[in-house]
Amino acid sequence: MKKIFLFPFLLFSICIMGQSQFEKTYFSQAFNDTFENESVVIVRMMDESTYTNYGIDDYKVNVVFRAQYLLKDISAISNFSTLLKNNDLKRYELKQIKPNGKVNTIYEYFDKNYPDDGYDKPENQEEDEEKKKEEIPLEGLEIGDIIDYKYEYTFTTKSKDFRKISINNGKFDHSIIEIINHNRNKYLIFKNKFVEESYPIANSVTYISVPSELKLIQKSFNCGYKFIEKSNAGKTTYECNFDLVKAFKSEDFSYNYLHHPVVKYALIQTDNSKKPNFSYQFEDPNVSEEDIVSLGRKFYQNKNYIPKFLYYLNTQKSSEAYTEVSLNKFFSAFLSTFTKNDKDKYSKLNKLHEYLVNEDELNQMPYGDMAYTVVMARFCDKLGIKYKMMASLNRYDGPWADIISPYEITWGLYIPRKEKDLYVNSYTKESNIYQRFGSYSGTDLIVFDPKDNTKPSEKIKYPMVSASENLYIQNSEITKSDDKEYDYTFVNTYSMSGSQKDAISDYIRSQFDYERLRTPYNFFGLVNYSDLYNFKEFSSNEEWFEEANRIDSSYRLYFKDYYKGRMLAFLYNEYQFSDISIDSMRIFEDGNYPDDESKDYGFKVVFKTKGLIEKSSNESILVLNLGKLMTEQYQLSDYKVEERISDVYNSNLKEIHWNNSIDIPEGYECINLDDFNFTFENAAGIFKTTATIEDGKIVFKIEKTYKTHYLPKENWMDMVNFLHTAEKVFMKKLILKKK
Amino acid sequence: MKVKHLKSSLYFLTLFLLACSGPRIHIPSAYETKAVFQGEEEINVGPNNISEAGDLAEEFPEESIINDRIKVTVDFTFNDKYDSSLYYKQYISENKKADSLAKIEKAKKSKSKSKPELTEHPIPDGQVFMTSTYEYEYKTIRDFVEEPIVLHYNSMVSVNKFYAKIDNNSANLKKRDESNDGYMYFKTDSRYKIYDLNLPVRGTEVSYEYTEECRDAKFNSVMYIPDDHFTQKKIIKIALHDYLKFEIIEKNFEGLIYTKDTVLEYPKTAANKEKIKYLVYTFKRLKGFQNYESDRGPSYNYPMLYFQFKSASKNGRTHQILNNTDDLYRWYRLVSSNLTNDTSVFAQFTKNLVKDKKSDEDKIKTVFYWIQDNIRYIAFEDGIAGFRPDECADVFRKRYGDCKGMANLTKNMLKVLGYDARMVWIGTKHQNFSYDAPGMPVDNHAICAVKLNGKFVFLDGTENYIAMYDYANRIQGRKCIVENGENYTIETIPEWGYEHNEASSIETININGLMLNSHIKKTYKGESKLDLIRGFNYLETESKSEVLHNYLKNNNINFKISNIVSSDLGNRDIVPEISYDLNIQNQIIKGKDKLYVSIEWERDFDGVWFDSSRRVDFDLGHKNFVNKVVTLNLNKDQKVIYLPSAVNIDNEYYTFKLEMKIVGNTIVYTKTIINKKDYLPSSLLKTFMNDCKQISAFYNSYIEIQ
Repeated sequence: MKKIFLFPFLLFSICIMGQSQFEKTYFSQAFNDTFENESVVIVRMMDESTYTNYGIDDYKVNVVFRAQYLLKDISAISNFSTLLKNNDLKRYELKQIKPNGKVNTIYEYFDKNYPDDGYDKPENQEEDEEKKKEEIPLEGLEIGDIIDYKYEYTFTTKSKDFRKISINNGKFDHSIIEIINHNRNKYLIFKNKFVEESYPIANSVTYISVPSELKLIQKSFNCGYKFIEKSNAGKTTYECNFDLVKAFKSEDFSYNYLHHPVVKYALIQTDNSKKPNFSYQFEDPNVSEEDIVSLGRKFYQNKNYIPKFLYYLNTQKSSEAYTEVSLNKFFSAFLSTFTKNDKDKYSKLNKLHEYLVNEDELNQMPYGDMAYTVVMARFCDKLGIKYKMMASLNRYDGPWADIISPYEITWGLYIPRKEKDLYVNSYTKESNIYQRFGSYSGTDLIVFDPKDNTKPSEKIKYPMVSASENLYIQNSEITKSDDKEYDYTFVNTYSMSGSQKDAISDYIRSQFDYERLRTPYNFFGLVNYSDLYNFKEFSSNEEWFEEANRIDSSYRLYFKDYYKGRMLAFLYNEYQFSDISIDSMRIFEDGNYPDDESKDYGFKVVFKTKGLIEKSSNESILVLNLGKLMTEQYQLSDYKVEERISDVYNSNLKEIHWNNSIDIPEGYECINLDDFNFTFENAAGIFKTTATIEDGKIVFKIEKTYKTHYLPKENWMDMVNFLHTAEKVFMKKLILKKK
Repeated sequence: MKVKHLKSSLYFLTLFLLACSGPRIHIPSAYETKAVFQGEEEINVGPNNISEAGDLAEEFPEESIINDRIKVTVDFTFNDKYDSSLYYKQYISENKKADSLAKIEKAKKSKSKSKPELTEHPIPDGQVFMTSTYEYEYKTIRDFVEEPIVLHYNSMVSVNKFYAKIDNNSANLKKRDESNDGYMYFKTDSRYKIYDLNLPVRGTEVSYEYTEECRDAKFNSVMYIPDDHFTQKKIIKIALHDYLKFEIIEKNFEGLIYTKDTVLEYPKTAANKEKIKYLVYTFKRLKGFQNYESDRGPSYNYPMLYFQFKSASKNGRTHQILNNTDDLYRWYRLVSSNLTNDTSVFAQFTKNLVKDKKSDEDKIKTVFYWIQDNIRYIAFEDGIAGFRPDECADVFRKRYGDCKGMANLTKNMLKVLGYDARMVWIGTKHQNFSYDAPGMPVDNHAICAVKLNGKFVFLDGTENYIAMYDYANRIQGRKCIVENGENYTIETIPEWGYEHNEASSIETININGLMLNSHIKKTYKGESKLDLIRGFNYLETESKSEVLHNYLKNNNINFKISNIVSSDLGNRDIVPEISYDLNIQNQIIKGKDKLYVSIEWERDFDGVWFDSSRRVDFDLGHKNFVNKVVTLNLNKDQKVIYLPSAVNIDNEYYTFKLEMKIVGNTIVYTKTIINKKDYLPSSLLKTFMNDCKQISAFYNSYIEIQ
């Protein structure tokens, strides 16, 4: 049943300062809430951007976001009970609209001195304290109330810092992200607008007003929403309305942008005299391969396109211009400082990669991948590595035909070699140039010589990354513990290749790896040994050296403890035993920053446990948690699990082997070992377990393979059954009976 | 190897030269390093200290620093300007329209840059000022110690004269000033001065001192003896003035090594030059505070000195402070005395709310439940707001308030309806204090009491979804002060036994091949009911079904749940019931000639573990009563070979009784788990843990059927 609300208060509220005509009109319209059984409904939401000319060829952008949330249950009252009070943007307004139309203003803030480029002044601690976001309680909150929240900020397209607001699904969780635009190219918006929010939407609108030389290009996916263009008096407006949008429902193994309503749009510069400064754009939503190649060459060949962050190596003063000379100076310094022990040119290139990916500024840059690619390409030139520039799209970005903006492309290098070719396009931390990523598996790549405009580009395929390339092997020798406090001692040896090297990085690998910090010690600027001595004095150099060595050992100990803690967390998570104590651990193969690209990642850990054996009140019976030896499995709720919106995607194919050998407690025999001989295979994966007795030990082997990148949603239950099967075996127990 | 060593030596030598050259090195350290880099002054840290620190590290594996000595000197000053209750009355009159939020906003706008305003309505100075000087001396026993010095203050207590030394050099530490606004629902004027201190080398000696000034001694009546770390020696000196009558109550002193003396000494700061008598406590080898979850509150386990300030007399003037509960009630009355309690705003609303209700009980209940559902708990406890209830009209308008505000609104809505409703001050179980020694920490909560059929019914509006006549565990059995005009009465909140919190489950299970088919009916009472319906009703509407589904099947993939039927989980006046069917895999294991069957998957108290060094009691939250009866129907041809051995443990604190019996062609399993008290004393934790192993063994045991 439709419920129509027309609030009389709107007639009164339109006189509020700081409203555009569009906002006034939009928020005076009735809304249509047809959503039953929802906690909160967004009844109206507006994202309005107004571009005006600024200086010679820039634009000032005024952004107003306003949303109204209808609270429909006691949970909503609780969730909206207090809200953040902000004062770090140009304007904030927080109002509460009662069901009878009465409007209570809870909070208003307007900074009349707010600079066009956003805040740029240095902040001291006291100001920080004052600026601290504060929660304020909402008075008189009742079911049926509407919370009306608005903020406004400005930025310009000048090549200075500007600010961007990140909105987390329409909830009041606004983090400010500072984006630094050092690339001397002016930024015009590109947005991949995901229409759904965490709450259902009765109506929302995106409205953009621009001078006539700017044009909006767009494409819609999984919906019919489109911007409507209108022109009047040198201005063009674009308006896109979204009606009755259901709440976003998260699903496992999905690429949300491929199956939920999305509107891609970008503003482009059409004035030829201004175009040189707006070079990172495509002028037609139907982007051709030629457009892409031409853009890559334009940046590579621009001698002024040297990113600023390189000055960190002290080869460049921050005030100096960034030139070809300074780049070469940087490369020379880099080679002489950091690459002495690298055995080949690829290893040296990987070292630069390592340096670049740890630069936070690079990660914050708009199209930082282009900056990365250009610097890496120039370094290849210096090292004599043959390469091609490469444009790539992730599997979840869809096909090339879907793109409208360069911001969708990931730039990189294709490096053909006698050995495995390299596809270098990830500049995330913890990556290396040898890695291949399942998220690009089988995608089309556009590769070209960036120096020679006459050479044709070509399309090649990113290699299919098979499950066996991402191999995780865990061998466990499990024997009765000598320590009475524990049941068993585990000697676990792990070996990981491909993406599986990252699988445990949260636990035991990180950029803080001690060995890498040490050589050279200040590589990442994390350790400054001079700090250790700033209040000490020694009578002799010998005493000093002794103490320096002691601190060195201490530091090793510190990191050992640190890793031990992380390893312990890893083991608890994997096995879910009640008690684990680590005896020793050793990383014997660091495949993270390899000298040899074929290196896997390997480590060994010896630990004692309690919990593998469950003691029962029947002395003739022991219960062995054998299933747990395949460690924690992917858990998928079965609540309405058969309902599926999206097709099934899995970018990370992998193969996992667990090989366990367990001492059988003396005098006991296995009752149900056959329950652990199990084979399952379907379109989603293979799951195979074997359990045998060999030399008086239980040998329990498990193989699990995620074998497909894609399943249509009709086959979703294949994935469910595959995962549930493994989860059930994880919970299986083996009964041991006294002979 | 030699080359490597040489390289390493050169590397450290380079660093050493850099370190000695001073100005060329960037020094990010938080503390003053001038003396070091001038290279002139003596430094104490050297091999001896380092070695000693290493020994201590072995002795105290859990500690990073050891306090060598802490000295606290407490003195008092008679407040000649104190003007008894008129002072409060005038103050409150001026601020009677005080609205915490508005006032704080106003204060912030007008605040001076130098000093942050803590509250717009501070508590006036008391009869006696209290000054405490703290002196700390400690050393690090590990490398890379990060140990900020954190000094707490608020609008009543200020800290100043901070001075620190590191290795005998004065240290100018960088200070941060942070509020204690953890989350919105409880906002106070507490703040912290934080001095960051990173100490990379073990054996570093740190000393610091500061002075804490309290404008009203009665607000500073608890002094805990331990520190965060192990303390070799702690001296507490308390000035004993003839004009001040107070009693020092030693709490939780069992096992302490200490002496108690009196000495005559010249005070450090007093203007007069006469010697003062001091009571001196000297404690040795004090264990530090422990940071464990689910403790009952520090007042239960940690040694403390509790000051009961009774009166102060000087120059012919006598001020009563808190000699007895009369004084405490007088103070409550005083801070509340200027409330207007204008009920006109909600009088008609309240009458409309109950217009369809016939009985007094229903009317009171309706108001009580309306308060729970519509007034959110948001507390501004800054300054006098920590003690004076908000105006009932303000709470009604804002739809939020703290406990006092909610109690005051409950009281006045009921008064509108003609009931005898009263304010009640009470200390929750978190506070181990009583009216035997009245003081500010005794009461920390406020509720409402209404007379119904000649008896008081207590109404705590902060407890969402609690039924009338039910009381949250935290106030059960507690004594409380019930207002009665100029007088008051001390009442006791009823205390329920564990039976009140019964969570019962009746299950019938049939064996179907290697599957178990179970029909389950659960009922929830007392705290178990509260946990269920409070949690359920605060779920987002669209999530309720899914959460209930996952909750009942315990997220176990071997369970298929169906036919969920529940009573109205929004109705707090009934005992909620939920029934459902479970089809269960993996609970039957097939052996050569028999079946191994497990019919227990709700493993209460399985795998309980406590740190053996824990010295604080474990707070269970409330008493528990799990009562489960399972009937396993056997097929005609099935014969029971083995049943798990029964568990039967009973003591003052808990009962574990689990047993299975053959009754006809069924197995009847009964499980009774009782926590008779809402906590476990630290002395019993090891026993409890071992007893839990017995029930774990029971859970792990299979029924054997042939």
